Amino acid sequence: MRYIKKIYKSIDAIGWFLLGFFILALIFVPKFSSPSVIESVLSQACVLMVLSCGVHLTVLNGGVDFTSTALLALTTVIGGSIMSVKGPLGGTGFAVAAGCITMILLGLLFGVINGFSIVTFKMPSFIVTMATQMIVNGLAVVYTGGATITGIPTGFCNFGNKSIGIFPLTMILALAIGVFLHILLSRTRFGRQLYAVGTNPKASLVSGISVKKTIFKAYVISGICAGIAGIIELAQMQCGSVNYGGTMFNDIMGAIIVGGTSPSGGRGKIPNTIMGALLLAMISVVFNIMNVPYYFITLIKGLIILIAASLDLLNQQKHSNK
Amino acid sequence: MNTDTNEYILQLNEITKSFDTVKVLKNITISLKKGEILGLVGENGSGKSTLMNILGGVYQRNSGDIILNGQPFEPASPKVSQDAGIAFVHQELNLFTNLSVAENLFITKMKKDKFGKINKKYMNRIAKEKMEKLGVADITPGTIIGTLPMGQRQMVEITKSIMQDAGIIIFDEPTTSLSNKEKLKLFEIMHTMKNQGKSIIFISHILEDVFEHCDEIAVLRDGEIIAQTYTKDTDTATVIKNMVGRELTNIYPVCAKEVGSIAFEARNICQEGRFEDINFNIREGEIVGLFGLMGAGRTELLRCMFGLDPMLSGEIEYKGKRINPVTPVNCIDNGMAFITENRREEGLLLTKSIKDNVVMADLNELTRKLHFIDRSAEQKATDKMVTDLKVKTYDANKQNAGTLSGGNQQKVILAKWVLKEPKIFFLDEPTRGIDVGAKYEIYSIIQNLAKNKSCVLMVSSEMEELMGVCDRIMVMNNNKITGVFEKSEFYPESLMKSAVGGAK
Repeated sequence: MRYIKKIYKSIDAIGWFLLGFFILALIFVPKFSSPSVIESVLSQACVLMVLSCGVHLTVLNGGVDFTSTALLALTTVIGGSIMSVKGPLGGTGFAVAAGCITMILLGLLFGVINGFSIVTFKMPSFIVTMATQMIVNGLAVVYTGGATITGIPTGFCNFGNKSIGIFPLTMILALAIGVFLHILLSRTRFGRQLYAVGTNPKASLVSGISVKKTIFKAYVISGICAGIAGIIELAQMQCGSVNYGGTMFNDIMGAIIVGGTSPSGGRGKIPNTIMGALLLAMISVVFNIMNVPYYFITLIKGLIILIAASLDLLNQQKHSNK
Repeated sequence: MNTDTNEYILQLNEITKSFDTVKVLKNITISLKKGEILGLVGENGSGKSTLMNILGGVYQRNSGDIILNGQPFEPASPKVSQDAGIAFVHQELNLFTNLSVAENLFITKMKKDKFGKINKKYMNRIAKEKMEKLGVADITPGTIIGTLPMGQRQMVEITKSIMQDAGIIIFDEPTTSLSNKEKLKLFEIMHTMKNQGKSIIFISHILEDVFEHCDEIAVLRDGEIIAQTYTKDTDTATVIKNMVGRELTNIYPVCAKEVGSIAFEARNICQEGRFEDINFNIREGEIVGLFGLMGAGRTELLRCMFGLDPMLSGEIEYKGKRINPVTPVNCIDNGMAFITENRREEGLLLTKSIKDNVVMADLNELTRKLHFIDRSAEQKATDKMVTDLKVKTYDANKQNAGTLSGGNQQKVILAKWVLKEPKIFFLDEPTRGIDVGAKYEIYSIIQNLAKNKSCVLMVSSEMEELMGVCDRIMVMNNNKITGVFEKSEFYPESLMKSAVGGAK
């Protein structure tokens, strides 16, 4: 009983919000209750989840990472052309492995570039990552000439489309990333340092925390996550395209903010961001079923993010006035 | 004192002011003559700023009269004071660095031509005239403030004060950021203004300057005017005695401890534009105080030796081992700890729990395999520190550091370092803004550190506290160490004499 009470207490606002929305959807949108629809929500949430969890680290640090959506596209086109049956490796298992590794390394590379520029030149993260976003986008277009990369091996695509029960395989990978990052943030030294630096970089420096290293690592991890998200996206869509992730940045920030992460840094949990991503995916699917036009869905998402952010701000003011 | 009111431009009679229940000013009576420079001296916190803020209309007095030019005067707001011809030159300059000299001078009353466009020509001309009047014609009105050195910015600030034809100009520690040459120029301007019939109140911690340039000197202590006399009728010793002459009232914990041999040494510490060749040492188990008045360079010295501000050259050494490079991380690795005066900004994670704050500097020691934090060790350490240091909290894991009282916040910061068991402690104003009871507890913690053979260097503006806690006191003035006193030589007068720039 005490254990249940503890769990009950540890659920934040987003948890109840997600549950409430889910129940309402079940009641009022009859089609929503079919397992295949639930499966499609979960499958659609995967990429968003992994990207949001990566960016979550940079937001914890009081920054942001715009590059991730562009990296998503770049990794799918480069990874895709390495894997492709038309590619030099002929679509073998080896080609798939090489493709995946390249995608992760690409994410890592741009994470390093972002992190290095931010800590070395003390540039605001939004300028640095906005610039690299444009560069990465440009690279993707130059590389493909705008064409879609096809011929992805079927075995790899199966990973993107098969499920165990209603759980897509990609969701298992996405959740694994989430669990890993959650443990990294809540149980390790790096996690403690990231929260400390995000809360008060000056005090962290005086306390002997290497502020620069910590910030650097956050951007590198965000980059790697973008690479992994690319793998999932490629497997699900079965082709690589420069158009992926175009409007996704709003959803990423939305998932993080409705999850209760403070945009000024230092506060926010990975599980809440995951729930935030699930909520946004659910909103899209539910309103789609109801035949609500796309622009109206963005309007609703925007309102939800605005409300969540103001609630967070109010909450913070209450804290600081104490 | 002369009672002929005609020659006085400003008289303050029996001014009192309380904040909550604390009386900061008690029956202040001073007077300023036309064309005279009045020096106002006193320790930190003696009430100088409060008094000037009342005159400037920032605070409202509780009682007493202000007579300006023979008429009762009511400084209800800064604007009223300004219009009545009272101008301030602050220590921190209030200039817009991205605007030109002339634009800064006209910032409240930009001159417009008939089309509503700003008339730069006119502004530049008037600015030039005003500056010539002060003898600072070498500054071009069109120059952007940001490109001027500090000294010239100060001149612009002074010019700004006479734009409205002020009769009384208050200089609040104007020399702190100036070089010697710039200082001379400043005093020259003060005398020029004086000769033009303006009256000046000059607040300074450097007695030498006060004696050289002021006609009268008023000494403020604990919110009371101790004396206002002509400069020629007094001397440095009397002024110092008036500044510090109070009984020691607080009680300090006594703790039997042994002072060993020299453990920490700082040699030839230099910082560009500030320190030259600072040398000192601390013995094992010794508490060394660092006294000085505001702006003497104490905080800056600590920050420099901890790697928070750049060190041009010099070395620090603990037990024969040089600590190099001087960066916060490396200093901490070598057993140093620094408690900043800026508790909220540089000491605490205000929105994080007490636990998070306590273990923050000790994460490396609490880390186990794969960089995992040992959570039971973390909890044990937090509980021990909270008990040992008597931090008053309902739950160290839940209560945010920001919700604690000042004294308990300071204890949390101390706990953070005590947990790490460093060998060299730098404490910057460890008891500022803390109530008496908590102060006593913090003194005990400091004494205990020394008992465990740590070297302690403690900056404080409260002389009494240093005399009660320290084994030795160093005094700084104008970025130099001007005196070192052993326990047997602790006399307020001699400490203050060093602090205001006199030799030991």
